[in-house]
Amino acid sequence: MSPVLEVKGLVVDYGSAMGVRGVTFSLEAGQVLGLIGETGSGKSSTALAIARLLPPSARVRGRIAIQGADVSSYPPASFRKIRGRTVGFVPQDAMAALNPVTPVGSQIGEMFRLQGNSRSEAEERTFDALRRVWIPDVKAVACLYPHQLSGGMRQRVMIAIALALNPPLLIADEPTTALDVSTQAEILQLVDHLCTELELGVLWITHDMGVVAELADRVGVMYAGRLVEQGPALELFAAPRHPYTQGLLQTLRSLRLGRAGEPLYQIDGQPPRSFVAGCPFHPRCLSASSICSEVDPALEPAGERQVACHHPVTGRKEVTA
Amino acid sequence: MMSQAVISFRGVTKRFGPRVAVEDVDFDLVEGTTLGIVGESGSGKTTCVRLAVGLEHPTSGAVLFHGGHYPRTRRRLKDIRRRIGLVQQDPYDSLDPRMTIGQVVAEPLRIHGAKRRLPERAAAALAAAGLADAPLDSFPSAYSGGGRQRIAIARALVLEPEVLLCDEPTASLDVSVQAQIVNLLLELRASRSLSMIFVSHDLDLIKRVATELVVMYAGRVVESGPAEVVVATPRHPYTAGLMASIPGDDPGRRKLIGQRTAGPGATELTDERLNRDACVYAPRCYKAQEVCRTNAPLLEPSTSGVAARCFFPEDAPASVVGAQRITAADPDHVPASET
Repeated sequence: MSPVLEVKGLVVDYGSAMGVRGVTFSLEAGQVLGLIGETGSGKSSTALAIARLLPPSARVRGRIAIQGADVSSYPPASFRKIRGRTVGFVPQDAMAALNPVTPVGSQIGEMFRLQGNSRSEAEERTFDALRRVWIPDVKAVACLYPHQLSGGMRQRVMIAIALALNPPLLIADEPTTALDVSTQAEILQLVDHLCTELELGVLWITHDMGVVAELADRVGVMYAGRLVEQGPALELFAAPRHPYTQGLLQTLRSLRLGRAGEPLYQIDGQPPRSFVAGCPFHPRCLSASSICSEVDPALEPAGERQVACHHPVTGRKEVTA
Repeated sequence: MMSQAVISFRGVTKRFGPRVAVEDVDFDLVEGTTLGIVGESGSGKTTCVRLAVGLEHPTSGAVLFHGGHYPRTRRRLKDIRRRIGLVQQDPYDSLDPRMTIGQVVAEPLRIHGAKRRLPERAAAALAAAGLADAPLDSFPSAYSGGGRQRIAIARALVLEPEVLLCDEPTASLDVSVQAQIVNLLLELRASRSLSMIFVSHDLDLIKRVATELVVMYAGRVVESGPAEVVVATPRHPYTAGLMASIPGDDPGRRKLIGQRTAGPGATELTDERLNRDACVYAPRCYKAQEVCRTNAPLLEPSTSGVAARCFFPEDAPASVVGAQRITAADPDHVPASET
């Protein structure tokens, strides 16, 4: 069976800037791929490109196959027809994505009506869609407007909408960023459950290493439009190979382990705002040598794992708080 | 109190029309300490900061600066304002894009009547914030998020205040840049003996920065006390739930996944449906009893110095704790393991 999602050589070109500069990865059913990165790393552009939600001004190249079908070759109109059955997308800001003047039930039901269901069928399927995301008292909730729901509930409604037409692929773009940790935990638990239950492929975009540690089976680390490291979550957390991944983990662990008032571990510098020759991380990298400012390293496979670095980290380094 | 309180909240309530932003809030910022305020969006954290800086006046109760009320007139407020610096969440919003960074940083000096050596003083403040080489005639747009936040910190410190209020100062920054800004604030706190209020929703971070901790929920303080004690042995179920919900850092030992820490429907109430004559957390609480839905608990201290607004705090005798954790009508719900 082909993977749920296969992305090959994805490039997103905004004209003035390159959002994504050649990204390749795949995702199996029943698996969560955590895509981690910060501003300008291209993680959101990657997500939007797969769901074909980028503005027309963005030029997208490369191959995107969902369950073996090369959807990147479909004309926009025919993709629109199958989008709901192909890929579900959960954005960061549910309030902005939902229609503020329509009850959430109608917003879900609309999709079923468009699929040719009768009014009562659509209503029944709406209730099912809400139950699936652990919403109690679905009849009452369906009548509420988005502003009457808590942030966590709105995000569950978004997940219900994304999964309504049973796509094999769910893409979530930082959906828990605005939530507090206890609500975030509930959403993570829900997605983990749905991923197994419905055999979904889940692409989870985040900047939070902790969320990745909880949810992801595999991890891709993005920096300046490139994947700089990817591999199984267990191995990547146990022994990061890219100095950037190592820095991110050290930041998280020093935050956790250090004592009050002590300085935190910090990665100096900041993510590049424009093109950097050579490896884009080299100005911030402690192991950079002259080759790093000249040649951008390719993503080299090392067993199940891949890393794009001239001087990958070897062995497990001690965490210093 | 052994030491002197710089800013005190005494039963402070602030309403905006029918909406309750904060209600009956009590705390002291003690000189030389850092008070952390933690809570979710809409819990009233930012309103507390705005009250503390005198941008808002309480509907009832009192906010005190060194024991005195904040004056109601703008002119007389200036005296207090000069002694309080404010760093806001989003440096993309808080800096005027049409002003050079020299103007941005020197503006508080001008407002407070300083006329001489403005560029020098702005440059010194920028240097203290880690931007020693930044040209004063450059614009905020030339800087990334971390750089802008340094400019905002320079502006907050240029009048050499005794208090620094930080409202989610790293929330809009990249992960790899957050630590730099926190370290800068820690450094400045030490070198200038600042008292600080540090607002955040990031528990890991607040643990590292705060000496005292205030936990807010739906506008009320639900728990307060020495940060170390609150973090190690939270008394309010909300605080306990937050601590238990922090994601781990090891995919090999997942803390959250595979269990359900809350029942379905546990998070569903929005403000307008909250009963403010009862415990505001009761609709989400795993051990809420009838009394929690009919009566409002008070913020009561324990011997550990931690105050909790709860009828059944986590350190109460076992006879009341360990009641049924989730009462949900969901057929496939799995009870969470006790945390």
